[in-house]
Amino acid sequence: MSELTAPVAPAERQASLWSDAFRTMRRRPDVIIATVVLLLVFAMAAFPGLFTDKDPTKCLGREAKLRPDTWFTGNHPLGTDAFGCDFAATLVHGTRPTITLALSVIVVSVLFGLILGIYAGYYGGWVDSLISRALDVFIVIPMLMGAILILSLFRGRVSADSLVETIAAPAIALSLFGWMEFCRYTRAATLETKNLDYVVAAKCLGANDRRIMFKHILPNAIVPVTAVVPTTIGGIIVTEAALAVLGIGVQPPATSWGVLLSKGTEWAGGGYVYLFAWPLGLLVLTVFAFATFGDALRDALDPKLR
Amino acid sequence: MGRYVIRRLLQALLTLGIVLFLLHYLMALSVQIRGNPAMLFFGGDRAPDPAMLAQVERLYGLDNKCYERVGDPCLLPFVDRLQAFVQGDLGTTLNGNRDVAQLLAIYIPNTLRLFIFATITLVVVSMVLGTWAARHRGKLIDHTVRGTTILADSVPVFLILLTYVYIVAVPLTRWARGIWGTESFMGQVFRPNYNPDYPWTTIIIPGIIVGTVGLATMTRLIRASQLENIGSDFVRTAKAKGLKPLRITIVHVIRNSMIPIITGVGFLFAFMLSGAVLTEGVMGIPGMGRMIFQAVQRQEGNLVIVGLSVSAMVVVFVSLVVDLLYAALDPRIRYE
Amino acid sequence: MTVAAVAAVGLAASAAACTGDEGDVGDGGGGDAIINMQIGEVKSLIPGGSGESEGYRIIKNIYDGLVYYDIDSGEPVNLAAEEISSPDNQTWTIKIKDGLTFHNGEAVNADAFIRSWDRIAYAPNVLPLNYFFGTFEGYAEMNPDPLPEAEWADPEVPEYAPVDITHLSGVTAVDDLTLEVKLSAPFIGFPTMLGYEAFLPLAQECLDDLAACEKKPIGNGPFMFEEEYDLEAGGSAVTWADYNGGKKPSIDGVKWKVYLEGDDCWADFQTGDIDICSPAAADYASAMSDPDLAERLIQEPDPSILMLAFPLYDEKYQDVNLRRAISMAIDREGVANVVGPERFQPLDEWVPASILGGGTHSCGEYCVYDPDAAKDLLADAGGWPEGEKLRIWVNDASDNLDIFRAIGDSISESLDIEYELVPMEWTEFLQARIDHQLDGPFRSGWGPDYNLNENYLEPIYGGGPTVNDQGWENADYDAKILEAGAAATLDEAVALYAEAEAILAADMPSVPVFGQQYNYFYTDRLDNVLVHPIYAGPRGDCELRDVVITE
Repeated sequence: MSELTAPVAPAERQASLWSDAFRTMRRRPDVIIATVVLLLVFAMAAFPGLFTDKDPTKCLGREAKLRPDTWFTGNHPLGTDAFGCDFAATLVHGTRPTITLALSVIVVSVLFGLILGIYAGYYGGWVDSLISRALDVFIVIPMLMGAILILSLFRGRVSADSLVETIAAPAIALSLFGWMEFCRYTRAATLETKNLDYVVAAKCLGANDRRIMFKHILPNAIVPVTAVVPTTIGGIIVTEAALAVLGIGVQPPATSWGVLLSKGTEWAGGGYVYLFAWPLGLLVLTVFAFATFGDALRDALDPKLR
Repeated sequence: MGRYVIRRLLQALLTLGIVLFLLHYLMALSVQIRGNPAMLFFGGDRAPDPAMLAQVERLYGLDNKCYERVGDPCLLPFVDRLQAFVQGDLGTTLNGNRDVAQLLAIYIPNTLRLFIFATITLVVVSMVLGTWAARHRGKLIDHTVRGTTILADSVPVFLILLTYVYIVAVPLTRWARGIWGTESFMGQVFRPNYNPDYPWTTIIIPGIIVGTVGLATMTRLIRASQLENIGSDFVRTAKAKGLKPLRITIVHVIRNSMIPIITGVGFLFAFMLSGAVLTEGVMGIPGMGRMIFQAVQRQEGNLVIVGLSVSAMVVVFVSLVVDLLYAALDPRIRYE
Repeated sequence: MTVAAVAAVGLAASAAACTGDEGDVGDGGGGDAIINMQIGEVKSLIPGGSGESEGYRIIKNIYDGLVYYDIDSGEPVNLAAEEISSPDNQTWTIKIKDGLTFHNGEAVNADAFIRSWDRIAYAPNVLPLNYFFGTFEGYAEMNPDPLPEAEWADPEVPEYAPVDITHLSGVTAVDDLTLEVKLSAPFIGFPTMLGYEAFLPLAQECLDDLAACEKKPIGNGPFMFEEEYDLEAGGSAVTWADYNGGKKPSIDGVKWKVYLEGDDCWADFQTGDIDICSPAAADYASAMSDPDLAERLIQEPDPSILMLAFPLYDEKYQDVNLRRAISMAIDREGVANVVGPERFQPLDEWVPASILGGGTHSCGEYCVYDPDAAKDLLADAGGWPEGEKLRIWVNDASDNLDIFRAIGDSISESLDIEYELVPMEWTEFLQARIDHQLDGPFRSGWGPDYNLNENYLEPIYGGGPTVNDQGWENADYDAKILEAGAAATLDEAVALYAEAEAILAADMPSVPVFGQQYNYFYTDRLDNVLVHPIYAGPRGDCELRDVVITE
């Protein structure tokens, strides 16, 4: 006769919102594809040398707009662009400014929004009033308009020397008008969370404000924010392209996808579709990947939609 | 409720005041950094006589010393400007010395027409798609709708615009004119550029294109709200009563999903102005978006400040209306 | 949902109903032969207030000047003038034709010209074409220098004595139809200069109400405005039935539609809504591939030129060998290949061939692309400072960024120098040029005011180092210009101006880059489309007095 032993519960896996979300997303095929695409794009931004060995600044006017007759081989794998620079090299090297710009804008906006939102929600009173007014003021000016206003101050004063200088102006302009959404979400989450029992308990136990804000409230507040981040990155890339078409933002001869796209649209009608198709394809693919990822993330993090 | 409205109005006034000052500060900064826009008054290839330049500067209040120091908020000119606004004088432009109020009277209706069509497109299309996706949740249609709207949002609106103007519009117009004639509605609606002789007809397509901005967001909002409602008790009751699915959808589900639509429209209003900048530029519509863009480039202080303030006022007003409608539609919400 | 559907249908129906009424707006005055033209941003429709190409395109059809340039020879032909003569090239007698009137019936007499010229020359009116009267006696009294600095209320803001004199003392009406003009120095090009906008007449009614005149100008030319012109939407003008000043136009009217920066007429041209338009570089290729359209192409030399000028006040650019090196380092054909070889041609002179006295090829070997010779010249000049960038300053309108980027690429390739482009907004750019604040070569462009090589030499490079944008100083050049102005005949003057051009070429304060060409396509309803090298506007224009509509 086997010994009766008390049933031992099998080791339970710790369920947390994040690991659950991760698991849900891992299973979806569209998320996997999106992730692969994004990794490729990041690789292109970080290590352009892996993808092309030509110098994108070596441009001969006579060789402008040579169509890529021999695909991916020969002197110019994708042909030359409107100025005679190797097109593949231009595309690849243009990835870094675009991605860096998008990432820096999102980091700054999120940080800004998070901190301001938490302070506003936690302290209330005049801090909240101040920050809420600031929110109102910035929301009322559309992002593109605000960017146009700020960028007009920088005209003619930026050089294309280093990456930082190239993207600094548009980065500042877009961050200044991009933090509001995050601030709002965070503030709402903070307001909800700060009256929960365990937070009140922590306060009674003597935890100081900062500890409460960042150890207890932040994990909750960050959830709605994270849900929107990937989609917003995609939106920033699109806005950068719009700025390039308007002629402000990243200035030639520095490249970015927006600059390439705006040049490409000029020539698309004249039979040089490749100048337009490649940057467009790259841009749409990347933004779509971000948006898919973001959509899936939002669904995975939203308990109501399970 | 009344107290709430008054409080919101006061907040709105404060916001507008801050916006005005911020814009003024930015324009002053612009003059300090970029230099004197008074040259704009003269045009042409050559330089004006310094005497005349000084006169123009005096005319536009640009001769104040504060414009030499970078960062000076130029309070005196600000106060002058506010006084002028209160008296109804919106000032004149540097380029061509035109009355700002008159310009607004031309530009605002054009942009408004654009927005009307954009809003109609946005609401109708996202409603249809969102409802459809919610009804068939989880199935292929749902995924397709979500995928397509995300794709539509990934493509920048100016590309849709440029594609339309340069590839689609001309053949479409020629074809339509061949059948219906040049002066007909069909002959004019697909034109690649806005034509002031047909202000309503030629603004339909640009309006539709601007309306695709934010389609994915709106569709998602509607879908989510509808899913909430579909799973709710009163819908289950209606189904149990034996009402037809279509009637349930229209009468019960949609009406209750109006709230996110209204919120969404209010929020997207600001985005539409951004979309308008590009659309008006490419299709030659004399509207607010293009006016503000050019004014910023040329440092037309009066135009920028008045134009953006007007837009700010509209956004604030719309958001107030949205919040009030919110309370009207959902009896659970009451404002103190 | 049904509500929305009903609303949409209702809107469509009402829009369709609307077009019925709106369609009638297109009709002009009497007839149907209306030509549809594109136009850009107009600054003013009163002579003296425009100074830019778009306003002038309308003004030149609404007003008749004293002379008109012949389309083939370019020489001034009397239009409103009966005779222009002078014994010494300094005092000129202008006889006006008898019987000419404005659209409102007022006479076109000596007073009409005097009141227009006085208005433009009067400094407090702040008009862009004021400086054209600089050579007239009496100009200085109407345009005083600033008061001594001590008398200024604000040490930063210059102050001027009030100008009481409102009439140019050098211009008198000898009788109703005769003007006498005294210049401060002999200028043989005076009759030629009279063809420009600054010298058109003005009606009294216009002067009395300038605001109304801006909307509905009162001119003396073959076209008149029956309805107001709107700066945003454009407007239309009809042929003046009582025009007796010259050849009457064969069309019935013209309709101008406005296209601003960022928008062009090509799409509307393809649908037939605009009758004559110039395509962008990309569209040109596809237009030429259509054999029918390719036949309706007009190519005319455009006397506008593009140059890269040097800031000679910056010591880097003071060695002429450096400037020559840069000139030879530019692959002009390569650059044209980037922006549109059909529109730009390499230029090797400072006055283009389509201008009277131009076409001298004064630049010679220094405008030929030769990277090896360029490197040698650079070495002769002491080389380029290590680590410094060549900064090229441009204004950011339309093609400039592309053109100068390609130029920069070319220089960079040939001479192994790093470069950067500094784009500026137009008015700031102009100011920086005038204030001598640039630290690198800059874009310099010019278009013809009147048909004489002097127009390309004196206004840009004359006046001495403080006046011209390059800061160029050359006493021989200034002397030669004066000598040419005092020449006895126009031919002599032209030859002397050409000698001045040679002096300019030796010193090279700027590098000629491109001459331009008009490429206009027109619809098949037009015939006898003439593009006047001096008068044609950019982006699509033709002589309205000559064009015929065949329908």
